[in-house]
Amino acid sequence: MKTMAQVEPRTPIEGGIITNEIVLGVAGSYYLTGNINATGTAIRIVKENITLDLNGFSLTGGATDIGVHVDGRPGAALGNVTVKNGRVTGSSDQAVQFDPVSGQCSGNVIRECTVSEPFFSCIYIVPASGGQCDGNTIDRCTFSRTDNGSAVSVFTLGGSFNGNVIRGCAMTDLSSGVSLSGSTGELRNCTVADCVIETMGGSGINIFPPAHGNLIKNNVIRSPTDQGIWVASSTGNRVENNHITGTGESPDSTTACDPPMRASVCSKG
Amino acid sequence: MRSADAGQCVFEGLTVQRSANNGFLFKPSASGLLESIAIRDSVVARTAKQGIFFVAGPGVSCRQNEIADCIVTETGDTAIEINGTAGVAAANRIARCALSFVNGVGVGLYSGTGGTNRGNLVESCQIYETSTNGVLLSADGGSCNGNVIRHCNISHAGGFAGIQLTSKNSARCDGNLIEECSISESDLWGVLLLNQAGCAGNVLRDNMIQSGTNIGVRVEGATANRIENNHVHGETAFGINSTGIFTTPASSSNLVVRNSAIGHTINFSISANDTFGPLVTGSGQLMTTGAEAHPAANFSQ
Repeated sequence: MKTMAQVEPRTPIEGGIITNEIVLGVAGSYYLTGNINATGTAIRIVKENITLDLNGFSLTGGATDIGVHVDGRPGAALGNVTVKNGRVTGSSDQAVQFDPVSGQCSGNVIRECTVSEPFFSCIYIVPASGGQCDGNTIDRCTFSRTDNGSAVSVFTLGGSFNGNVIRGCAMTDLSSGVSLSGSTGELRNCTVADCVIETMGGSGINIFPPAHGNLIKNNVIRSPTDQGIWVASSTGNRVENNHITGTGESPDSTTACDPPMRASVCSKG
Repeated sequence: MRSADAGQCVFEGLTVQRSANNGFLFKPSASGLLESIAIRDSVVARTAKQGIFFVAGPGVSCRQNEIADCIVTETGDTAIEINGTAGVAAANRIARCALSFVNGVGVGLYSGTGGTNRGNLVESCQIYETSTNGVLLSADGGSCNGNVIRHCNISHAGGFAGIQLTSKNSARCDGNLIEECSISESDLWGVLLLNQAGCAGNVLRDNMIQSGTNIGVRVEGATANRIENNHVHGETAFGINSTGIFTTPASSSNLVVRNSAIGHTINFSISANDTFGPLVTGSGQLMTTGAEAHPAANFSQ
């Protein structure tokens, strides 16, 4: 019988206090053996086909940087990266950042992670010009505690964020839940589904241009200070079967959804 | 136990048996932290009190903890309890645990006066043979909001409900999601939404509920909840006088759509203050017009 090491060779990453970021630049499977407290970025991923199992441990970010940085630097093609099974907490910037500058961050997975207390957003994705961030999945995570950002914040700067899925997540104590927006680029065919979003300073889910053709479905949203779901000046999105209560304002759509708010229930608590 | 520093611990592969108190108890003093603790692949058996117990008292933050792949059995009180007594319990995760033969509640998320319990995930747990509720979200003076109960299999909840959401003493139990659970053979109710103060904005969807001796889904005075796409099956062996889905007259603004209830004396009893899809009772091939073709129709047999 094959051993686990033969089936899936795994490289341990020792816990402790680190002053230099850990760079994962070789494809393979990695796992933490302890908590990591970083003074800067904790882990930077610069290669495709990497699995990072946090193994129940915590990455605590540093004074000036990011917990996990999936770094799609120019020319890079970061795909099939999985980060799973642990906590990313306390970063002074974003907790997890997908950063396809002019490369690719596509087909990656963030799964069953607890992400909390970043200074800005829990997951931040900024496809810059020429960058692609398509077909990623954020699945069954919990996001909490940031006054300055969202659970998941996407802002396209000329790149693409297409066909991504955010599903099954619980979000609480955030300035907003999911924010899909940008200045230029593409933000299409993404799904936000089966999430519970509670107690925000802002909107539960907001969709701004250039978002188009996205699906917001089966979410439960409660007590945002502002809109439960805010679709502004973007077209072809579908908002379906969500349950929104206790909003400070009525759900707002300055441009109609297609179809508009089908089967959604909204009430002020 | 593996640990790197205080407040960030992993307990893995432990067995705790025959405790005169709790299996695991995390109860810091006032203003303490209970954060980033993981209990995994462990067994807790035969405890006199709670199996795994996190207590967020006054000023305590109980967040981002994880209980996964554990077996908890034969406990004298709640198997796994996260109690926001007067502090904050949030963003904790309970996953893939098997809880059985519990003299109390299977999974309890509680909040007392000034406390809160929010944004927690309970998923893929097997809960069997509890003396009261399988899962209880109880806000008594605080709030128990925005939690997720998903993919759980709950059977033989004695005395109360498979899953109960309840509020009292000016508390709120709002915006929680219960989905894709299988609930069977509860003594009284499959799911109970009990509003004694505030119980609103919760969603119960895609669940399979075999009614107990009383009611499959009972909404007691609660408002603005959504009961959608559940299948409630009345089993005469467990109560021929049962009701499938029941919202009391004091309930209002609930939405009851796309459910099926079969085999009860009364399949649907919905408050006139609620909104519900048409009740389709016919047999045979469905019509392509009228109530049978309505997208929100509830089906009753």
